[in-house]
Amino acid sequence: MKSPGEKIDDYLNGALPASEVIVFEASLRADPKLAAEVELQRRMQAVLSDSGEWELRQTLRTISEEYSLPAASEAQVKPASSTSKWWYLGPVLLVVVLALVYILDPFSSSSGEEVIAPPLKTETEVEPSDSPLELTTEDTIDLAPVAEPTDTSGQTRPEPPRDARDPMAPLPALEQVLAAEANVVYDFELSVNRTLEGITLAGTLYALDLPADSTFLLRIFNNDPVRFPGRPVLTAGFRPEQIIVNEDRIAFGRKNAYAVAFSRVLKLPMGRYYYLVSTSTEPGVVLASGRVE
Amino acid sequence: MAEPGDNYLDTIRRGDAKGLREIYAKYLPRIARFIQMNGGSAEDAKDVFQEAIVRIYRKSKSPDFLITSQFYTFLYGVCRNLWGNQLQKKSRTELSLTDSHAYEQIPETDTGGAKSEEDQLFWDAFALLGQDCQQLLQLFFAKVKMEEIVKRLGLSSVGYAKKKKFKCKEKLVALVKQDGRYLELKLS
Repeated sequence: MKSPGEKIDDYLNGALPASEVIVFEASLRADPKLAAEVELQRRMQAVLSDSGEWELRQTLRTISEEYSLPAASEAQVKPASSTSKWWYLGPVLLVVVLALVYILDPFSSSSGEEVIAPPLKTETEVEPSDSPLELTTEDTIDLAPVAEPTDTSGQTRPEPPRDARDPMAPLPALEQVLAAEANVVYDFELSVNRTLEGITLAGTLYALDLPADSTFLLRIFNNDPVRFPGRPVLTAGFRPEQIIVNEDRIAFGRKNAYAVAFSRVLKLPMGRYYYLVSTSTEPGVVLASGRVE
Repeated sequence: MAEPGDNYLDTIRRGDAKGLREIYAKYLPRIARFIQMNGGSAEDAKDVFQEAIVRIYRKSKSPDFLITSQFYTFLYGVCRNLWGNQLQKKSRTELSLTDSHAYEQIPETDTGGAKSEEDQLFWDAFALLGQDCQQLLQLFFAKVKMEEIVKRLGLSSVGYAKKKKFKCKEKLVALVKQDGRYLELKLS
């Protein structure tokens, strides 16, 4: 005589003889509690039968245990904002940011380029004193068109008209910078992206002990040869924060790991963009470079 | 700066430990930063990260699955959904997350939705069993014959294996039913 548990197992595994299946299914119709139990076990079995997922979960658990992440600093631990609570900040911020943009970029009104207002809350605008990414240098946004260079006689150089320049074309001078060897002292692993809302930078810096207030300079260029190197479209400062990845990684080259994150609301026209990272004291020495994705 | 997204998908599909370690080293700190910026702890970050990899694994098994963005952008999108859902459950108002990266908007249905919450409950309960119970039930659920299970796990007899399987399963069902999510998901 099989126990109810064995019967459920046999039924779910198709091991119950046909005659017993009819009887068992009749009992399922008559007993909702039994039916619910069988349904629960059927779903459980369907999920847990994936040996690939089970093995993957075990591997991930092992790897996860190897990692010791630091607890969030006070500045980082802030609840995700609730739009219903902060709705009134929107108009205030909009006015403040538009005023700032006007002050920083007096050409914007004549350039036709649009600098969009930030969303209700961004890390650096709303609570600059709390932000772990507090900037120590002022951002500079320069989207104004650059005048055609002239020679000493005041004649315009025979360059193609600016309108005819392909905005996606690579800029040889910057491509050359990108091709240079990576800096061995400041080992950046960065990804810089252009989104509908602006520019984001994220990644890790592996370096020997950095002074607590180390600030790096991020410059974004478009592919206009006249702008490089003197007139980036964005110049901003960011400050990496030390993190602990795991002992092996940190021990590599005796370097520490620092998290790097930065975002800026900035509407850029379609085109090819590059980023350069340097220290704020030596902007000419490029520590990391790449294309903005 | 091209990322080997396809390679990482393959890594996850194969459960390759070396490649998975690389994914952790490269991306966990960044995801942790996002989670910590949005009210979570380091442990929350590890949990979300692990679950995101599993969700990507499930998706990657379907033949038409394709990541159109960079791997990290997709991973960030999955983590963002998972963490956003967790926060939303605790809040009555609409939440707005502070982002540290561009992300791909991934429909909830693409990463499982409520079905995945149910799966998660089962896997969480399963992980609370001893390793021997997990091995035995895993083979049993995969419909491996008892004789073969006895051989593979070096058990003394089919009778013993059946008895052990029964006890393990009983414990598993009890663990599922004890979990607060069991009633929430209306599994009864």
